[in-house]
Formats: sequence, structure tokens, C-alpha cells
Amino acid sequence: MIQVCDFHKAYRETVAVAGLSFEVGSGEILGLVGPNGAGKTTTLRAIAGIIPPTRGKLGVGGYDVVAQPVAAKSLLAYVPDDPRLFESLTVWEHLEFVAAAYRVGDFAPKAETLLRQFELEGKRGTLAQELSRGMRQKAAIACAYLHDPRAILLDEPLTGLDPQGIRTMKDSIVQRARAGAAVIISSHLLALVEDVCTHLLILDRGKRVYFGRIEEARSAFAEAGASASLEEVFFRAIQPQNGS
Amino acid sequence: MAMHPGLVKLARLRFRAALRQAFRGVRTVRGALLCLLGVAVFTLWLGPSLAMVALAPVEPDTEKFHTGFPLAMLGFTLLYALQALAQKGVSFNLAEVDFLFSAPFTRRQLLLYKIALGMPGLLLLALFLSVFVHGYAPRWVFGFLGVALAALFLQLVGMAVALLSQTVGQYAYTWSRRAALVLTLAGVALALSWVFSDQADGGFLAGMEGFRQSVLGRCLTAPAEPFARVITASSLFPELVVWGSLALGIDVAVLALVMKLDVNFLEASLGVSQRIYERLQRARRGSAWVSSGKAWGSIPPLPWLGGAGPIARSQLIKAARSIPNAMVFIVVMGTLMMVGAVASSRVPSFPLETLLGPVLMLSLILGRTLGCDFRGHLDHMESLKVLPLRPAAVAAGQIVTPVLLLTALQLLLLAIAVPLAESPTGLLAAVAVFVLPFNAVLLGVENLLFLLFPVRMVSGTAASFQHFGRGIVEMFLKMALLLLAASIAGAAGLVAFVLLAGSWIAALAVAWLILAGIAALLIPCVAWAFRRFDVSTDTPA
Repeated sequence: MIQVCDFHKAYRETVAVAGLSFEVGSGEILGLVGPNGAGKTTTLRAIAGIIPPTRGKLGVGGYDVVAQPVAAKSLLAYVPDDPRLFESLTVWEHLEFVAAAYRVGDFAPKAETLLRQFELEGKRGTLAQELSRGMRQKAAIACAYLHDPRAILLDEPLTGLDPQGIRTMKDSIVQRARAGAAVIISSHLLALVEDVCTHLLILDRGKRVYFGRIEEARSAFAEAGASASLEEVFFRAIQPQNGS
Repeated sequence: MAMHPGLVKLARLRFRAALRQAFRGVRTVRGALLCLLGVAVFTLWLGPSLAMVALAPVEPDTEKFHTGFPLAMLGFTLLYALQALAQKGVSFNLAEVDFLFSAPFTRRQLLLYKIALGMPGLLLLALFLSVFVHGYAPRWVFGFLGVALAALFLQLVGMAVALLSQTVGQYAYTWSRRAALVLTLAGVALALSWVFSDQADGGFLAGMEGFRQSVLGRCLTAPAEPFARVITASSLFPELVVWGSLALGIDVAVLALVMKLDVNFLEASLGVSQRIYERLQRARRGSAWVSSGKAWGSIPPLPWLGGAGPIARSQLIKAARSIPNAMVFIVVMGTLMMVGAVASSRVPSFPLETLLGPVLMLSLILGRTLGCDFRGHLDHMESLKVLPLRPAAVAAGQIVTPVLLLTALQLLLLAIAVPLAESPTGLLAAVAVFVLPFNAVLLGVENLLFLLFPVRMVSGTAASFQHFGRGIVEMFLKMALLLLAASIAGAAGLVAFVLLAGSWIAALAVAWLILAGIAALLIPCVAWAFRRFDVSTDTPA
């Protein structure tokens, strides 16, 4: 569903991402992890068609993100880290707009279900500027799910959520993947990645350090041991780069 | 090319939301009263002007307008172009970036949306400006139409330049190519200045007139000619139809250029939008001028003074970081105000009083935007509250820095004005002496009002009638309190003058002491307001 092949992104002399390749199939959840400045957000933005690659191919559902951006974008949903809403629009008006943007016919029942799922029923008429950080996050996710995207890109999706919200979010991600969506979650919360992801991509300074199934990550970094936590795997994985 | 239905929907929702926002807050009595006041003042301000221009007959001086307007348009076009070049991209707000850039819209659809979204504001601007061009427009409606078309032209030119610069920038990223680009632009500027100076023997206005009549001037101002003719049209046919079609054609041509360029602007727009957002956030926190660069000079540790010293020092450090940007503002605004004040009096000398108004205005603006007092700490009030210091020390520490900064600035302006002013030296000295206590009272009053009636700027509040009404009430209160303080000090000085056998020095000393006393009394008042300030009620107006 999501294909990234030899993706490079450079800003003048600064290389943000170099030669990154990976794929995420339907039903898979990829955890994208790495230290600050590793190129995680750059990668997500490039897949979402917001920034063009300096080199390489990015595809969503078989469509080239650069050559066929509209077709590719109509299949995906991207929720950035700290999503900004239209301050003077209500939660329901956001859903109305997203429905029109992605041409979702009879969106109301779906929207109602999402509002219920994310405990936003009482906030449907509330202006975005009056929502708390967690509520804004939930509203953004509800908007993202409205058109049943086949590819979902989430940048730090748990920020600002309460325990109930975190559980709902995790469940919703797994449900969406079971329904056939390809999901990429970029997060510093390794526990989240360990809980919900099927695959792992570790980035460090724009380069791929590991890509594969989560279980295989432990054997890839054998010194961490078969029962090692993802946190231990992560630090083993980025250790050589830190040392260099 | 049609706009995507999703973007049409968003534009409609946002327009409706803007109207809702304008009258938001009428549900409470206070909000309704402020809103009513805002509407009343707005109507009183614009209503008579519009009624006058719509009803009163004019004898338009079209000849003069046909010379001046195209030149003004050329100036504005250059200004918009420069602004677009400096901005390095088409800006969107961050919600648009997050929702629209990854949505299935083409780049052209996004540009069309951007233009469409600007239309209500553009028409409102045209409504304002139509009042000013009425003296040259036989029919107000035609004037309004001409201004609207001209404003649209400027908006489109800005967008075209932003996209063009991005295209050129993609090819001019090396130093050698960039140098060639700069040299080309410098050459064009040199050629323009040469043509202008050739015509400028008879002064500025004659130079402008000469430039307008030159071949280059006529070529450069030709696109603005139809807009001027629409404004001064006296008949529907042929004047308005012919010139209006031509003006519309020019707008459509620039729009076609914008659409044709089809640069992948999303990444550049992302950067520009982020920069603008951060600038707005800084302005909201009262730190609009704080730059990330090195502060001007180092601030030595100040005496403890019950905790007021370290607070004042942190404010001074913040102020030092604001100085480079604040200086640009001061120079530009100060020059404009001085020129205005001097031009309205006799040249080369003028009475000092002409400067007092502009300096007071500058002080009010600076006090608000330096962000070195409570107003710049709205996001950090909790941090201030948990400090183990007495509220009076916090209040004193917050106020002393802007007072000193404003005083230094005003004394500097006074020093510049002295050689030009025709006022007696004694008066100048008295003004210089009173600057310090006056600023202390001013900043004390401003901080007191801010802590008692806090307001946080969020998107849309600036356009609401409630916010407008609130601003009027705040200004009225501020002026009333300042006047009261000045009156008390003045009355005390007068009494001293009478009692002490007409001694001016004694009168001024008493007035100074009283004013300083009022400033000192304001510190506990501000401290009280700080103590009762509830961080949980700091909600948008």
C-alpha cells in the first residue's frame, strides 16, 4: 500500500533523509522510531505529498505521490504532530469540510460514530479554539478516519491524550489495520510501538538502521537478547551511529 | 478552472465562522455591551463618510488622478513584489497546511481557494479606500469597483512574484547564480533611478511627473491606467464597460500567469507559514521583536531588592534581544511621525508641542509591544505566581524595565528634536525631567488594567466587534487615569506656585514628586491585581 524507494531529501548541504526504502502492506502497522532529527517527520510529510523528494519514488496504493498526487492523497490520511484546527470552526464543521474534500457521501452517520468513539459527542458544536490539546488531537484523528483511508500516517498520535483516549486511539489503529489499512506511526513512545505495531523502522540521522518485523528486531540485534524490550533494541540499534 | 467542492465548502464555512466570530460574546451582558459599543463606534466612524461620499456631489480632478494613481499603483506593486520576495512563498495558516496540503487537491485549486478566501477582505478594503478616492470619482460605485479591481491586481501580483521567485530560486541556489541574479536586479534598479534622476531637476513632484511622462514611466504605469480610468469613469458606456473590461482582463491575465506557473509551492509555503505562525505567537506573547540572535551587550546582576532586581534583569535581557528589531520600528515610525509633525508646522523650526502627540503614541505602542512587563508574560503567569517573592517585588520588577527603556527612548528623541525645536530651553528641560515619572504612571496603569481585564489574542478576535469595543473602553480608561494623575500633579504644582510666591522650580518639583508618588502608589495596586489574577480565567475575549 505504501512504497518508499531510495528516498532522499536534502536541504542545500543538509541531508535529512538518505536512500530510505521500505514498504507497508495492507493490514500492517509500521512503527517509525528514531532520535530527534532522524528524518521521521520529513519521511511522513514526503509520503503525504507535502514536500517533494530530492530523489527517489514514493507511492500510495500504486499511485506515485509526485506524479499523481491527487489520486495518492485521496487514499491517505495524515495527522501531524500537534495538529492545528481551524480556530473558528466547530468540530462538526471540520467533519463537514473533510467529507466534502474527500467526497464522502452521507457522512453524518460515520461522523456520529467517530464522535462517539472519541468521546467528542458533547463537543460537536464547540469551536476548535475552545478545545483542549487532547480534544484537538481526537478531533483531528476523527477527521482523518472519516473517509476510511487506505493509508494512515500518524505523527505522535498519543500526545495530549488521557488514559481512556490512549486506549481508544490504540484500539482504533489496530481496528483500521485489521480492516485493511496500512498504518505508519511515528513516535518516541516505544511502548506504543511495541503494543500496536507489526513492523519497525529505525531511523538515525536520515538513514535506515533497521526495517523488518518487530519480533525479528530482537534477533537482528542479538546482543539485546530474545527477551529484550524494544527500548533495549532501539538503543542497541542506534549505538554505533552515536559512537561514530 | 473550477474550485474543488471541498474548498468551496471550507470557504463558506470560514466566512460564516468569521461573521459568527464578529458577534461572538453577545451572549453575556458585558460582551453584548462591548459589542454594541464596537458597532456604534464603527458606524459613527465609517457611516458619515460613506453617506457623504454617496450623497455629496463632487467635481473630480481627474487629470491629477490620472497622473498620480498609476504612480501610486506602481509603488504598491513594487512593495507587494518586495514583500513576496522577502516572504519566499505563498503563506497559508497552519490549519490550512495541516488539512489541505495532504488532501486530494491540486496546487492550482489551493491557489484559487487562497484568492477566493481573500475576496471578502479585499472588498472591505475597497469599501474603505473608496472613501479616499471619492474626490476623484464622479460615481462612488465606479470608484469602489476600480479600487477593488486594483486591489485584486496587487494581490495577484504578490502571489505571482512569490511563485516566480520560487521558480527562479530553484535555479539560483548556487552563489554564482545568486550573484548574477542580484546584479541583474541591481542593474534594473540603477536604470530606474537614472531615468528618475534625469527628470528630478524641478523637485520630487516634478520628477515624478517627468518620470510618468517618460517612455519607461509610461510603459511601467500602463497596466495601472485602466484601473484609474474605471475609478474616474463618469458613464456606464463606453467608459466603465471599456476600461472595466480592460482592467478585468489584466487581472485575469495575472491570474492565468499564477495558474500557469504551477510551481510545487507546498514545501516553501510550509516553511513560510511556520515562520509567520511563530512570529504571531511571539507577538501574542508580547515578544514580537525578540530575536534569536545575541543580545545587545550583557546585563550585569542587579541588587536583590526583595526579588525585584532579578526579575528586572530577566526583563532587561529580553529587552536587549528585542533592541535590533525595535530599533528598526523606532526609526521607521519615529521618522514618519516626525515628518508628519514637522510638515504640519513651519519648517525648519517647529514648536515642541507638535511632537508630544506622536511621542505619546509611540510610547503607547512600544510599551505594549516590547513585552517586558506582565503583558509579555501571559503564558508564564503560573511561573511568576510560584516565585517565592512578594507580589509588590514582582510588580516592581516587571514595570521598571519598560519604564527605563521608554524613558531612554523619549530622551533620545528629545535630544534629536532640540536643535530643531523653537521652544525655550527651560520647557525642554522640564519635559525631560517629567518623562520618567510619567512613564512610570503610564506603565503602572497599563499593567493594572491588563491584570484586571486580561485578554488573550486568538485568531479572529481582532476582527470581532466585542474586541473592538473592549479596545475603546480600555483606551478610554487608560486616558482617564492618566489625565487624573496629571491633573492631581498639576493642581499640586499650581498650589505650590501660588503659595511659594510664583516659584516655577518649586511648582515643578512638587508636581514631579506627586507624579512620582502616584507611580509609587500604583505598585501596590498592580501587586494586588497580580495577586488576584486567576490563571484559570485567562480565556479568550
